[in-house]
Amino acid sequence: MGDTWGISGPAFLLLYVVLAAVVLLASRGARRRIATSGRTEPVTGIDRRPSDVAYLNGGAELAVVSALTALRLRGAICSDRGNVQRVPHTDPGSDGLERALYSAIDAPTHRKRLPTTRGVAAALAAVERRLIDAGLLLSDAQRRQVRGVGWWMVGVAALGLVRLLAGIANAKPVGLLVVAVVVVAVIAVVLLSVAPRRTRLGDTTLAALRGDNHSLAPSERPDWALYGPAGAALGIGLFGMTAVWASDPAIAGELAVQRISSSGYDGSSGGSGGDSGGGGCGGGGCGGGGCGGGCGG
Amino acid sequence: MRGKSGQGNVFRARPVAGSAGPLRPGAALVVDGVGTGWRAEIAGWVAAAPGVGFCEVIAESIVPAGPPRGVVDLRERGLPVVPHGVRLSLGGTDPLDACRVAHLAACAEALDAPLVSEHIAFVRAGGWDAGHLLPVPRTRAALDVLAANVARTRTEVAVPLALEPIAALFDWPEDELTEPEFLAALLDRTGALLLLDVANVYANAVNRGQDAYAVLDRMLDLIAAERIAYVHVAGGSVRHDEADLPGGALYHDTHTDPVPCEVLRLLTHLVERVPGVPVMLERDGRYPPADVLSAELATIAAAAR
Amino acid sequence: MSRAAEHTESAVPSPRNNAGGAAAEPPALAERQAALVAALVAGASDPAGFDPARLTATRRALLRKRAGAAARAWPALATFFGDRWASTFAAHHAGRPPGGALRDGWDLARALRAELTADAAAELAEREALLRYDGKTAPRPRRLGRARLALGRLTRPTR
Repeated sequence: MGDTWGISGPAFLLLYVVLAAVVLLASRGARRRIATSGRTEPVTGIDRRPSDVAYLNGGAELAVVSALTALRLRGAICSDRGNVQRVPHTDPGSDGLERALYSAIDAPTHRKRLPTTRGVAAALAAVERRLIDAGLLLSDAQRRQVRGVGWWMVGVAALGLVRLLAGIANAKPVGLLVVAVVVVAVIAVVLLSVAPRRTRLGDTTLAALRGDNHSLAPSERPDWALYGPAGAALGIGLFGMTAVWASDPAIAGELAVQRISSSGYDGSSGGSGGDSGGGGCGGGGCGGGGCGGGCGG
Repeated sequence: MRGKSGQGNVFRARPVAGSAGPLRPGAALVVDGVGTGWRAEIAGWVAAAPGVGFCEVIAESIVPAGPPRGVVDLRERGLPVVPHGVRLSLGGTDPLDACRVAHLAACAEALDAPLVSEHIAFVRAGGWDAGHLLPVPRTRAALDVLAANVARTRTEVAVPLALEPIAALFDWPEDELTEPEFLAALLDRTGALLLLDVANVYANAVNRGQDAYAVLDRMLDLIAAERIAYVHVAGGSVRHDEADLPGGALYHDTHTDPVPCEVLRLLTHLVERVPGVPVMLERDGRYPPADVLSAELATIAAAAR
Repeated sequence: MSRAAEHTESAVPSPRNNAGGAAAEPPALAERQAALVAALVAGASDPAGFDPARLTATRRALLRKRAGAAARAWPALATFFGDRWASTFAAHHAGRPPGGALRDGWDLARALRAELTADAAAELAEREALLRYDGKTAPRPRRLGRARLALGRLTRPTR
């Protein structure tokens, strides 16, 4: 009996691996092209809407945490162990998401349930729409397109499978080919299921904003009493949940924000000649804003 | 809060409006506007606050090879930055830590600073570190120690050194000189400049039962105006939990409270005698909202005109 | 407080004779400084001649400052105590010399381990995994510290 299809095992394997590599590179290129719109200049002004920045960076959960923190700092809501509730007769907030959250939490609600609440979901959808229209986020259709590129690798896997079956029928050794096909299949599954959220423009815009607002980075322990609720929300939007722990551990605890390992701390002194009378809470503003126990949940 | 505000040359070009005298062109630190302590937690505010003419950074908090980004931005805008040491322990009888001296010198070089400053105090003794600035006795023995340590420091630091007298919660029984006399003697012996902290002058006067203006006037009588490099202003408060102490509650120079009116008035008095001296706000924590802090800075600028 | 400070001219002569050169003076000053610092941070008795009320105020101020520094190093721990942080810290550390913010907070966290909330306990567990601290000398990084941390995270329930 001769070689399957007239090609020897090792020769096919080599060609197959080369084919898989070429298709993989081409797939990555195609996915990147879909994710790149025409604009290359970073979009300006988005930092005036911290909720938008948060959604761009970390989706619905981060946007909600960012908005809730701003509301909490203004005293409009109280929070305890992840449950939040509005405080009556306070300012409902300055943007659509904050107002939607404020309206939704007349009773204690865990913050993780909020993104699916009707008013909040609509507000989040509006944020997403705005970001897609600005070319910062990929639309659902674009993400489907990106994932669709994965079918090329599926084709390569199928080719390998056919060869595999033919080889088995011919009683040829197929061990290495099995390994190759499995690897290709796994890559195909990954490509079919994973698509980035942001466009290239979205990535560069986020990076530019982080650069412009480096003073809000968690490593700097930005003081939220100084920067205010908008500054706090922007810091969370740009740098993620770590920002809450870095600036206000009390609020981080109240909102049940996951603690990520701190990379150590800055051991050097922050003050000089005077004696610091502080030492109440770590970081910036201390929590404890007049709730009176309504947030048991 | 933006790191790059594009305000570029505004701080350099604008002279202090209505200043009572020339800007002391021969002085080590020539600035337009008021100064502020740079702290990482408020870096965005420092970058954007109106009227800021210079900054001071805690030397121990920066790495000379890679200063904080906010400080680098300020330097690129041409703002002078002064390294301020807190742990050198110039008043201590232990030999100076060579690493700390080298670090201070490296900070000055990295920031191209016009001068550096440290404290007339000691921080550690007998193997224990107090963790804070403690007053030295105002004796000739202490003068010897300070003079030797200052001389040692000046061999390595290429720019002028300014010395800051601290707020002391206690005095030594063996004090021989008054604070103005001690300062004058120290500056004469060492050739160092003076970082005059009017909040400390106020705190010490209040806690010693003295008249702050009399103390300040005596200092200015004994110390030439050109020796004053720059001025600190800071907030403080009386602690109510000290009412149980014999002698009553003390005024603490906390750096975490607003600047009291009495200190601002003392500053105005100082500036009348030393026109054009650079003045800066020292604040270490419990910050108010940005606009309130900017207003305090503007108040100090007005009091310093 | 020294009476010398209340006059505008020096009235009290130096308690020591200015006999020798610089060699005679510094040791006396060194001893006095050491005695003072020991009294302020290590629980030693007040050196002769100082106003005890003023030294008490200074001791309290030093503890407050240490508490502030420890709070920066142990934010979850400090937040757990809230307004009671300064007093809790002072009660534990009065008379104990400062070991630095990391050690001060660590000692306190270990002493109060049973009372800690989830966040504060997680913070302590993290540090214990990354560093080795025997309670006496400076903490040192553990080898495989990050691996222990990851393992600990896997076995602990998340929020």
